[in-house]
Amino acid sequence: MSLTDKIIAVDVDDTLNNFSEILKNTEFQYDEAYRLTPDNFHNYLNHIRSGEKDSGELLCTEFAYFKVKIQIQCHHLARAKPDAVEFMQWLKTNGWTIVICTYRDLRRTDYTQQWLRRNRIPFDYIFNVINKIVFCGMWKIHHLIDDDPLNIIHGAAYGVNVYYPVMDYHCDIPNNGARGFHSFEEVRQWIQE
Amino acid sequence: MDSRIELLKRFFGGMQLDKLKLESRQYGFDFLHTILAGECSLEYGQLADGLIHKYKLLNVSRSRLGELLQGHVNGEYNICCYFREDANNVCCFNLDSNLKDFDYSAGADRNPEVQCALKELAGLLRELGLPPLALTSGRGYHLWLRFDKAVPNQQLFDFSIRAAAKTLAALHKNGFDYGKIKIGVYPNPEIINTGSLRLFGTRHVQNRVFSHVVRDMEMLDEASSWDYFADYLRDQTGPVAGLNHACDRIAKSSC
Repeated sequence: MSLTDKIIAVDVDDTLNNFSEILKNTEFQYDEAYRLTPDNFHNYLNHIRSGEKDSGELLCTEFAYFKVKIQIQCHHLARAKPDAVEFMQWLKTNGWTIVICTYRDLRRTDYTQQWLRRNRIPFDYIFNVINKIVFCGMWKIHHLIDDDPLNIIHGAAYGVNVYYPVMDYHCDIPNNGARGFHSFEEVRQWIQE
Repeated sequence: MDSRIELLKRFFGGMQLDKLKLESRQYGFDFLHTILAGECSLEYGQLADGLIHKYKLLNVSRSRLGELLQGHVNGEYNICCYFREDANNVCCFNLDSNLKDFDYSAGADRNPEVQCALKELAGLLRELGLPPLALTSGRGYHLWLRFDKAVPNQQLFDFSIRAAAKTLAALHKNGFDYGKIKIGVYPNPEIINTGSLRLFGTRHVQNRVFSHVVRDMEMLDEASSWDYFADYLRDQTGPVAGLNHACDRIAKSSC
């Protein structure tokens, strides 16, 4: 295995932690500091939980601002998966270059690195990336661990081996060669093949 | 030394200069190692729209800063700086289109809401005795003010928020939807270490348009923009007393 083969990109939310579980189950309290009416607060919260996107014509909106506030709370509350931590430490010990690759806006979320360190998750670089397949292609990273269906569907076409933690919403999508896992131990074996 | 670098250092020298953001179309581990020369380290990277890469660098030494500013004025990449945590002698209004489908190739000069806001905000600041340095930038304009001494961030923020509110109100009075623009004010105590601004003297990463000076709603060419930038630094750096007076006036006036 060459050095360029030992570079791996790893997502954070729902890959290393339980973000969606926290979003679904946390009882967020209404607070006037959100600057929303109680009705809007509950409506927006439902929209966020159902994964709806802001389809309007504007970039910055009341909804977008609220969504960021809720996501930040989830980031703080999310717990690292024990086998993910173990796997990441194994990567580091075995000479892999680890690129954390997240949708999080790292300008706002400077706590992400603290969270990773607190949970003893090693990494070499951290990048905020919306199109992870394109990023991996540009940076010649052949392995990506990520739960996003878009990456699962399109990774192989761009030469990126995608591994994903199997979740309910993956049942209806074609994996196109991406490999779903239930334990990081499976990934450890696959990336050494 | 390149006189342009000297100008940039003098104009923006009151900001945090040991950490900055570098915007580039270049990428890859080899390029990353190049920009991390010396003691620099990478806090994080970003792949933004249009395949633009952004790198937040820490521990930038004075000598390394000079090298990076040379790359900035040479057009190799853009350098963006962060405001100081307590007080600053510059502040900036970011006046941008808030439309998702904003057409970078058309430019903000074809966006009537942004044009109206530029006219109103620049006019308001001039009326308050604080003529701004207005620069084109991507979705709109950056309007900089510079003072002879550092001013507490909260005072700059309070003043800027009031000026921004008056601009939005003026937009409404002119029959425009103020939701179609957004005005960011810097330094903003809430995002002091997370929000950075591109320095004058480069091309925007998305549309490759130079940061032209806009004077009386007319865009100066590149050479004239550098001349005006030097003139502004020399002649228009305002005394803090002028800001204090403007703060009093704007606080007492209604929208």
